[in-house]
Amino acid sequence: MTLAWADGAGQGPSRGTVLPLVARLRSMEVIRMLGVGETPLSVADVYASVADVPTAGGIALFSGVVRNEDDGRAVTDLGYSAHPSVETYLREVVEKAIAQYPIQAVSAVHRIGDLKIGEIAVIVAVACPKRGEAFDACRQIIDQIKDTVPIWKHQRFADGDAEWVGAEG
Amino acid sequence: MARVTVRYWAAAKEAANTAEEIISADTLADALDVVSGKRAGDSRFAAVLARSSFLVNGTQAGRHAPETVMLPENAFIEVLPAFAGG
Repeated sequence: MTLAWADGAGQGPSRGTVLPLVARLRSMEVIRMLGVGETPLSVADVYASVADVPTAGGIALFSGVVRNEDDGRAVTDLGYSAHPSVETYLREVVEKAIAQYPIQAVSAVHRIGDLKIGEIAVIVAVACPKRGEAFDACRQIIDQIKDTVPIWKHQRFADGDAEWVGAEG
Repeated sequence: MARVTVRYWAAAKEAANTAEEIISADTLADALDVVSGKRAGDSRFAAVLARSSFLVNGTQAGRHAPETVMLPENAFIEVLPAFAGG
């Protein structure tokens, strides 16, 4: 899959969601970076993408990184993959948050491909007028990415074993 | 019965031991019975399938009971195992 950090502007309506026109225009304006790709993620770039709004007084940024252990087992590396529809679902998560919080600018990007320990897998950045709503919106977006966006994690252990995280319960 | 294609993603592809197969079924529930029946006794496939969600011709089937999801001829079912982003 190639990198496609979609600019918020110029995107068609996402499948399965019908937002009123006003909400649609607002979401086009506030979504800055959205997508999945194989290129390493930059906290500085994602932060900068939401940092130009004079009405924002708080920016919450979350980054998820590859950890060296899971349930006490040593992890060597991870492989992330995604369904071709991934951006549609990622956009739905972000648009839901835009409808609920006074988001002035937002970015949500996820890496796919093979990642080593310490590499960034996902970054969510939200700019709001105040910190509380920025934290809450950022938390909601990352939680819903984990629950509802079709991304899969293949975890490889130091002992040579491997597993698809969460697939078998 | 409709001739349908089942495509498996990620953990489901590994558990099914194939990326895709063609079966005959009338409903999504039938289709899941058929693919499970082909792997009777395979607890890993059963576990992955139990936690999967399904797309039928690109649309989420999860909001409907699988026995009510009718499959048109040449329907395309996608098996999406549990998500693990982040």
